[in-house]
Amino acid sequence: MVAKGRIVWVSGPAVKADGMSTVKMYETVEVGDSKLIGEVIRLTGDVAFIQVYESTSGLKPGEPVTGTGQPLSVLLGPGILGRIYDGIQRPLDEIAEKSGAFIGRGITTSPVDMKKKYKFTPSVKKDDTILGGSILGAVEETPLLTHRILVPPNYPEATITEIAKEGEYDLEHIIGHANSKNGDKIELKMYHKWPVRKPRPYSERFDPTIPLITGQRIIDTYFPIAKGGTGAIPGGFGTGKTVTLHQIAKWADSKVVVYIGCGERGNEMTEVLVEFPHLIDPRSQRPLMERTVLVANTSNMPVAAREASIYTGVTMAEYYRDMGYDVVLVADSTSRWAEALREMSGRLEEMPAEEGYPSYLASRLAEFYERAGRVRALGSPDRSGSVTLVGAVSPSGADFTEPVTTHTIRFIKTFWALDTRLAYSRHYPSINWMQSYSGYLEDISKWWKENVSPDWYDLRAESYHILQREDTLKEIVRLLGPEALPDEEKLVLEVARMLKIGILQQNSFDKVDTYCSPAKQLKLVRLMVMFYKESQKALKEGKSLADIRALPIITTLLKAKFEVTDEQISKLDEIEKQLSDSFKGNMEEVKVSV
Amino acid sequence: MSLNSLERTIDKVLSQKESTLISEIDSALQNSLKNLESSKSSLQVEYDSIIESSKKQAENLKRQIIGSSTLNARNKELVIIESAIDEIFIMAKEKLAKSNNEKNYEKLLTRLIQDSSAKLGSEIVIQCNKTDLNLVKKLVSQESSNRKSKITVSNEVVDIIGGIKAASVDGTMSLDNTLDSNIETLKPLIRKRIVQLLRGENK
Amino acid sequence: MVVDGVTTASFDELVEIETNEGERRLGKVLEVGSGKAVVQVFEGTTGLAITGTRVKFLGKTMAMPVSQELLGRVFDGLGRPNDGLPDPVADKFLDVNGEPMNPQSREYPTSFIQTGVSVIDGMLTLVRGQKLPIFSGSGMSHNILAAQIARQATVVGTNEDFAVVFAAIGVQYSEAQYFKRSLEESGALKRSVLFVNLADDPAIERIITPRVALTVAEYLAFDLGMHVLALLTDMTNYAEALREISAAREEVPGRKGYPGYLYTDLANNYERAGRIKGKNGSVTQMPILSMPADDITHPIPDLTGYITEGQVVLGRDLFRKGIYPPVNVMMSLSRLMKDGVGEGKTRSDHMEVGNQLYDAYSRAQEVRALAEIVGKAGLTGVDLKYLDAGDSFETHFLKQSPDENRNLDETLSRAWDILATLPEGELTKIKDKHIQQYYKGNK
Repeated sequence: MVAKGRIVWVSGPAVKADGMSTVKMYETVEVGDSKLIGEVIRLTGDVAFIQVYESTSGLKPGEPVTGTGQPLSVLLGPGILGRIYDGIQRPLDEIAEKSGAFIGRGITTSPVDMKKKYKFTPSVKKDDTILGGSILGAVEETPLLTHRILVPPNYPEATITEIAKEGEYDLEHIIGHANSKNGDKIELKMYHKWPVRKPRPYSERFDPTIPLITGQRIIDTYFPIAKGGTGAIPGGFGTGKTVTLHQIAKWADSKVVVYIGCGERGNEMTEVLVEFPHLIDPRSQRPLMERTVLVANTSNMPVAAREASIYTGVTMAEYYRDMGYDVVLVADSTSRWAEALREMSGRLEEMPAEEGYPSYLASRLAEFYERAGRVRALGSPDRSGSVTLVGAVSPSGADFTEPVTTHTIRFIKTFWALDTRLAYSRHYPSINWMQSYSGYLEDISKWWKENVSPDWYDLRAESYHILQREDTLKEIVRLLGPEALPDEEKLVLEVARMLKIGILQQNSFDKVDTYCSPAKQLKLVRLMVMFYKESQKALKEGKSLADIRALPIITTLLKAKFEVTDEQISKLDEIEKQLSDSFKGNMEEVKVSV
Repeated sequence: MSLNSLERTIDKVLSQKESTLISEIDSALQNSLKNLESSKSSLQVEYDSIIESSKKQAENLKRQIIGSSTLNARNKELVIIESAIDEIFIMAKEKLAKSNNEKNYEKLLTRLIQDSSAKLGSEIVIQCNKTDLNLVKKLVSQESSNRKSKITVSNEVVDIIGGIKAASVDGTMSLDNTLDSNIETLKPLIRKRIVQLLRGENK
Repeated sequence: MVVDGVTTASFDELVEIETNEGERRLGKVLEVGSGKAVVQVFEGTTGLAITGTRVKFLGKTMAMPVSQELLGRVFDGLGRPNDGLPDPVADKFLDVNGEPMNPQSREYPTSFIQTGVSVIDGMLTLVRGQKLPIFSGSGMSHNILAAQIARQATVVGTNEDFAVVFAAIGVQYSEAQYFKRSLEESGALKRSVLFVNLADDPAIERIITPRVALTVAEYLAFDLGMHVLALLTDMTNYAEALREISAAREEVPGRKGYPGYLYTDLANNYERAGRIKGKNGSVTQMPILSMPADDITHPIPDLTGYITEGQVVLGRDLFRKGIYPPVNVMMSLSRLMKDGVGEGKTRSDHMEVGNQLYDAYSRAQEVRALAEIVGKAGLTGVDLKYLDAGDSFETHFLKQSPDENRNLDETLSRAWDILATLPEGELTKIKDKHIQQYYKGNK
């Protein structure tokens, strides 16, 4: 029975209604005369606490509240990719069509075009047995992605009695019939709905052993994240969080990208919308927008929908994972999501914990990051997919001891700490190499050894060691000046400077430098390590540091990141030769050219 | 040393002194000429900059004068329009006060009474102006018999053009349903219309 | 203030309060239910008696009458005339809270605004539709800078002047007067709308001031197609008013006693900037705020920085040195600069020169710090050159007079003057062809 109640209290996005005894927790309800969308978040007797996903301005006690009998769900089927949704999966382009440039209220739209016909190719036949999660067939959603049509995961085992022939069908068309073991007749369509707060099931979880390649040197080489892994990127404002996340969304070697703009700037979402259709995926030569879904709840959109946007996004990500694809979900910023929780909690007058956040903040964060993973999907055929979760954190005052950062750290394995000081000196990405870490390093080093080079792990360690030594030496320099150090240690400073400029800094606005392939990353690091070793040798042989500093090869090494494209990577081998030549003889006569 | 040689030495020293003096005077002259020249050019620069800055000031002044005079003219217009609006309102109110006998007005009063009792509850006290008192009493008695409401009409009349004032019996809640307040509420819209008419725009 | 016996009030509704003395005040409904309404009184609750105070629910949310006639007018912090002239005749009534702009309908900002201030044009370029705040401290020259920008801002190659919407939020009379005079003197007053809430006006009124101002800005931009520069000063006073209300309602406080929704609330104001596809006008926003104790990690600048597209930070050191504008470039940033400069927009070397200046000044600062410890004798030749470059950056590029309007060519030419003091090999951020074209130093 559908609940019908009345509003008794309104305060911002929080509404209380009575007469709601038949409503369920997390059920979606229509609130007021203008039918605003809300969700029941607490039940006390017949009084329901509702968070409303739209502005409640003008709402008054006495107006009706109607249950829908459904929990907050997303529609999963072809037509999702390339779109931009609000926090509860309403397409923003259709909202714009209905209410103009400013977002109106009480608008209902379908998440995907139900009338659009897709060419369906079945992969099962009559009398085949299907399980929840099995693949029935496929349609081409975009030229970049074959959308596999799945049996809803909660369906019982059944036998196909009829399946549509290859042909063009719209989403409401029944493409298959099946009988379950206890004789229930099942109808199958090309879409289904799934409640956002419930993780989609899978059959088995794998260890994360494959790195997610992002083309960003400091990430891939120094602080990698695995496919199916979790990472957080905290940083004060102006440290380039959003640019780094955009870089991951652009270049990560995943099949699908879900980008959640949660409580962030409107223009940033617009930037993605403007830029991504023109960016070409380096692997498929297709526009990046064809593999991307955007969920936008900008900072001025209703706060309750901010809370939902994270779940809407991750459910869509899991859906593509279940097709057997690698998915990256980027959430910018989880702090705003936590603040939305705090605001609702405050309105409901719950007992606050640290800084006013509700005590369940930690468990909510844990639940969210727990939805990452590389898994074997349900049903047949056998396939695996992954959801990698990357969350930005916006700590107030760039203070990493605040609750959202400290709780997040407990549930993630890769930590990219953005540094305000580095950003001030325009060192981008401003990921601090002393504070950041990756828990996947050992797990994925096998992949690098097998797919790129056996010496990857050692080169990484050696170059990182130089950076670590520089960090301790810097203290001495600060007190005594650089001239107080012996030449060997001055060399460490010099090579660390080269590593910072030539490896760690990466210009995301430069055509070449914006993406760096694993092979190129490795060769660049190898060149730097080689330079260090050759220089050490030269010093021991009595050559002066000044001579080493004057070597023209240094400029070549520093510029190689943007002078050598991935296509002409063999040039790096030439540079390697020039490098070793540079140290021969009296070191001044070797001409360098690229 | 002989006197002669002494003289020669003195002569020499003197002549040397003389030539130094001459050269010093000469260089001083040159210097002052140079100074004069440079101060001339620096004067020129200063002169130019004074001219430049006064030109700038004049330009600013011009802009300021033009800007504020257009603004002043516009503001005067606003004041004139406003006084016209006020006159129109006074006339309209007078006209309204005289139109209490029309049929529509009776309907309006009935609606206002119903609205007041719907918003404030069944027991309310109503006030109106002197002219309307009998009419309101008649309408209230009809209304009270139609529903189970207890509406009292106060004999204390108020100075309004029309409509009613309603209050709950304990006086904590009241509702202003007078024509005066309705006109006040609609005033911005009416003003817009008047201005359009005054300016000859007819949308 | 809590009102009893309420049956028909709705959330956010506008309320008129009549005191025993017959004085009228405005308020709005913050919370409603069970026959009670929590009302926020804009002009403060002092003098309101428990009995005898009457409350009128107006059945509408707070709206601002808008029309072209608003230009040249002065209003109080709630949008009521403050210049002795009659109420403006409205073309429309707009809800002061506005509605969120659909990201899908936004046009990405890309047109360069020349402010005539070298440090901004050269390194922190302002773009039409951007929101770029000035972070200042008490007593520093933020208002002079904001007024200079308001007078000088133009989009090169167009004849479109900016309309200025100025909201004074809890500022002193003299500051508000300074702006008014400055606009008057440049003849810009006739295309300006001023909202003035002074320091001795009720604090709660401040909640509304930026909202009415931005409502007017949006109207001028998107209904009348004007390019609007909205200046809001001082947002710190706004946030403090918010804190006051929150404390009075005994809400759970977030950081430093500010309410947990401070971010959302600020965003609802700051996000009212931008351009819309298919419309001519734009709203460019420059909120000004004073950082309490010059602390950039204080919640107000901190949350602002997370919402706005960059920040112009004024530095106490430079201010003490007598440098105007005292912009601390290292801490400042314009996020949209990359999209507003370069070939076809300004000059192809613009971005590179800006980056190189950052690099040079940053190195100069490091060398300065080092020189203080080890003395000039401990520095290398290149270090000394950076030291000089740093000084000439401050005196030749950063420093300018409040009435000096430099065009972009002059700004960039000054930038190259500074780069000329460095050896060519140090210019690692500039492409060779630009070095050949513009570099004036010894090769």
